[in-house]
Amino acid sequence: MELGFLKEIPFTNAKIIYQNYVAVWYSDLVILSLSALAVSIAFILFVKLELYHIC
Amino acid sequence: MLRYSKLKASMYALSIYLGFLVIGLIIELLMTAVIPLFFKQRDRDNYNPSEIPTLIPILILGSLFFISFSTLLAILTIKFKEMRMQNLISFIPLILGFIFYSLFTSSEYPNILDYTSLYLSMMLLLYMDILEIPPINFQNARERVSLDAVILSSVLWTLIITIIDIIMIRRIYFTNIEESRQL
Repeated sequence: MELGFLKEIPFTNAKIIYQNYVAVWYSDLVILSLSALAVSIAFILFVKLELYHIC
Repeated sequence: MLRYSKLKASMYALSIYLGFLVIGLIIELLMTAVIPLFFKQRDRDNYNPSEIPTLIPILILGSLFFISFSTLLAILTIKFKEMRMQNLISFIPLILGFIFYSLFTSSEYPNILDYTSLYLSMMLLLYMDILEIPPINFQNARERVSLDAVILSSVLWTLIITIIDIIMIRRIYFTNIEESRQL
């Protein structure tokens, strides 16, 4: 099947420039690094429930 | 980058930090509320943090560190034109996190890491808040960790990385798209 409808989408409003691309990646990076804190909360509960014993 | 504008690099960094701090706090509080649900086995189980007011400053400290660290990574990536490595670089904070968190379970680590590694410091502070115990070294439970020193080290790390960020922001130059094709 040919994707003919793609030709009909006007690309006048799609301005994916390098700066926007970097900005999106940067916010992604920040949110991923913040999730490192969430991992630590999960680990604390993991230890608290003695699913793993600290030697 | 800021040559023709009135915006200073320090104000630029401050606005980034404040914006992401709001997002960070929302994400962290949501995670803190949701993660205990995964561990809930019976109805009477309650693993929520005991004191929310002490949790918020800890999360602010942690968020500020992670924001400054990822800003540094992003600026270095842009500066050295390594955008093709972006997917790997995105995971550097998490990979570092897993390395430090696995120290608890796999090996003995020196006490100095409690103060120098922000991942372990944040872990200690969160541990203290969630379990309501004084901060201790994980490998050697008798050894107390100084709370002031942990907080001081986290503030120092954030400040040092922020200063490097501001210096690096000043050194980013706009490259014209036609010119960058030639590079």
